[in-house]
Amino acid sequence: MRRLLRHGLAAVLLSALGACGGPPLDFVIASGSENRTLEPIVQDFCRARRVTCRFDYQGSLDIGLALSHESAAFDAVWPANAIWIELFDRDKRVRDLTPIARSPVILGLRRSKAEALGWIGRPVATSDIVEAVRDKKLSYLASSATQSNSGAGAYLAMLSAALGSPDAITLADLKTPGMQDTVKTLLSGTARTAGSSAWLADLYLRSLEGGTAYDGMWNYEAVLAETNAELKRRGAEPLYAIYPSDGVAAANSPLGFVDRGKGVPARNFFDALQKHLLSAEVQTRLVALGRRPAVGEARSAVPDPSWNYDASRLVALIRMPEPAVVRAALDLYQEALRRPSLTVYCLDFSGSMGGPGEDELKKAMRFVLSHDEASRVLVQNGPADRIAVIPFDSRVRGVTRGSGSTADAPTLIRAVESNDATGGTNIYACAKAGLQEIRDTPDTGRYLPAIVLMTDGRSENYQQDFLDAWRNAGADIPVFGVTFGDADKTQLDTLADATRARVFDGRTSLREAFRAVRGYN
Amino acid sequence: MALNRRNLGIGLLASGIAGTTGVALVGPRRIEGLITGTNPDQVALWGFIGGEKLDFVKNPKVRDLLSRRYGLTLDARRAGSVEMVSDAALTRQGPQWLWPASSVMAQLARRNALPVRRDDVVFNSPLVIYSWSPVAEALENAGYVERRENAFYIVKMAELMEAIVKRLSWKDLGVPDLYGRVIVTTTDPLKSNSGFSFAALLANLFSGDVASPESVVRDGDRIATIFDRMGYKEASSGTHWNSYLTEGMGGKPLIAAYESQLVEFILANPERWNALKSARIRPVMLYPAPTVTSSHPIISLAAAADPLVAALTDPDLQELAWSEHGFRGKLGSVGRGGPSVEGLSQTVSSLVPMPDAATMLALMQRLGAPS
Repeated sequence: MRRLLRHGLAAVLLSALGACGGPPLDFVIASGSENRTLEPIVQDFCRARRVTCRFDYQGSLDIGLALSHESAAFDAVWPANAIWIELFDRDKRVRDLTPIARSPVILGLRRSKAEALGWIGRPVATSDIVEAVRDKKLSYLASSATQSNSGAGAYLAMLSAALGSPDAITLADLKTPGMQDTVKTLLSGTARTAGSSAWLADLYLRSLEGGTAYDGMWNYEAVLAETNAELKRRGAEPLYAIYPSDGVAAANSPLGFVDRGKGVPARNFFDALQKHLLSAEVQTRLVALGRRPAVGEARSAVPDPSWNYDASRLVALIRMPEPAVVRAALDLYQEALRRPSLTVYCLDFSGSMGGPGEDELKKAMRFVLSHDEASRVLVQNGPADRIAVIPFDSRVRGVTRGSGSTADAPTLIRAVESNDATGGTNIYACAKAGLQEIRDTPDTGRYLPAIVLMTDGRSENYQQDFLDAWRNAGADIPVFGVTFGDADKTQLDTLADATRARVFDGRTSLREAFRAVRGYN
Repeated sequence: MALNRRNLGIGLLASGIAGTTGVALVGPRRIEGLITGTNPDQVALWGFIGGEKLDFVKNPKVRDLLSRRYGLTLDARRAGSVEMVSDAALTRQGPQWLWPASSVMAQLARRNALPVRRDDVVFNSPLVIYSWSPVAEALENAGYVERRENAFYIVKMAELMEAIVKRLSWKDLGVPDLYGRVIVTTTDPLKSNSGFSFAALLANLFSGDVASPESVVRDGDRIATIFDRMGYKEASSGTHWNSYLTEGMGGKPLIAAYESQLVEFILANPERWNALKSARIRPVMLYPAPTVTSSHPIISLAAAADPLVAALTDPDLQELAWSEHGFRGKLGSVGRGGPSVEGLSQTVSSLVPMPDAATMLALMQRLGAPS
């Protein structure tokens, strides 16, 4: 009897311990890149609660798209705006989506540029920006409207301003011819684009190292604050904040719960995390990091007149259109209004690609070149785009050119599919041919150019040869890498670094890598 | 260990005494209830509830009172007011009760042949307009807003709607900091009750009386245009309220929502409210004249749920509804306790009845039609 009681007590004690510690909880947050600066605040909280947290950084669109898959591999979403959840979360899997911090999407210009334009200390309307771009006095970096929330925000504000109509944009508005011309002009000022606001800010900083700074960038006020802190550290001139007087869009960074059957502990942890992030203490820290608080004015933020920053200043917001209108506006951007892209695909058909690799590459290219498949994830080409397909092994096998129209797609797809994997690997020969292709394209300055270099191996080394040719070309032509199989990433990294591009990992999915790279030109 | 055994013994003794005196009268289960302090005949009832009342039924004091005094436990699942009475995917699940946010829904439930046994309004919350102090001041100067009894504001809805229909800009109304035209935003009227109520209010205003199917045919375009001009409309009153606070005056200068939302926010977030109300730009509540009230009827669909109607009108529950969640009682009056909210009106005057179900159906059909 006594022993039985003792065992019983032990069991009670054990279960009490279990209830306290519980099985270790893993918690994955799918988050926009603009939250990178806030991750330490979240990780501190996770550590205190003995929860293993992992941030899975994705574009806001990707987070939305992942929700339409069967198995979303995360427990919470933290996109830049709720509209992406609204567009894609058809099964209403996200619960209790609540804004954590705000940041308007504005134009940051090198102070000297803003001075030259006469924009210091006075209101600037979108029409002023249109005029400066038309007169070739201004260009900027801007994220892709279809792949990044800051890009979408800047673009929707452009649409709204071009319509001169402060009411919400309607489907009928999108057909207004005058509006399309104005927005095309604004977007023709895009010097480079990107799929992520954080990467765009890095690109600006890297351009300083090369000595040729861009005029500025469209980005979140918060990202401009971070970039300006870095610029100050380097003794470089700041990016002066322009808040277009006819309204801007803003991120509101909502955090929402995704129930994937982890039960009460995950739910409770989420509630506690959300509460923590909205507490007065954390909100004050967010303000110190350049965010505006979720609720109320940013009273504790120190204004910095050197870059026109005052977080307590009222910012007029555009009215968000209905989701169906947003979707149509994004298609319009992708197919007609953005600065057209000129993309050279260098595709590795060397012997090592034989078998499944060759099949996967062909599938990925079919996806990226066919309107119906690509438009599902908003990376479709438009008729104004120019595309060149260059299959290669140790030499260039040939160049096939086409436009981004649906009529040209079959020819381009055939140029990929007619290849068999055989021979050695020379990525530099193809990249050099791509460079020549871009330079030879008539009216080449109209386009946003890029070389997309996909390889699975180690190349014969003609790097210097290519880099010399690139420098001689004297143009801002990024060489994006896509890795596959056991590709030598260092070779692609060197090219990407030298040309201010980046390398995408295609080892888990080539299709995904090709999709991601579309956000960058 | 010894202590535990002694405690166990006392427990047994106590139940033994109770057993000998009470067993004949009330039966063993009742005795167990007397000892443990719970009501013996616990009945669990499940049904659909509008999201705005979820915190009320989750409140431990509410749960405790319902259980002790009435033997009721509520399993409440969130659903939109409109869909809970009309979406077959929900109604065929066989809920025992429904608790939507408008008495029109009780009529709609009957029209949709749901087995309505009883329905009774339990709470009220008037539809109000929330704005920000600089906007409210400008509207007061321009004659759209008036201060009453030196305590709260009313907004003249006919005049405000005329300004909106004429597409006046914020600058016309004396708010130079805002760009664009004057508009009131609200939730999607086809999904959420605050948008639905605002549509009813507009229909009444344009008809000059309580709207009818005929007046909706006549005024439908004007009403639909106003909703179109709002752009993206959130699906729930709670999300819309969050946007109002988050976007502030720059993004949401005027919204239509429930009075209870501000009161509940203040009660749940005293710290954030203190920061908000002392800011240069403060939230301001305006009572529309005329307005409609959102009356929340409990609808019993099963015999077991009939006692809910009496339980939810228990004076103590009604007091909790006000003092902790900002819902006015069944007669529209405020409770004794609760928050001291600046700008709160003790009584709500210029109430216009909601149009009947046939009118609201016609209006929703018009608003749902692609424009």
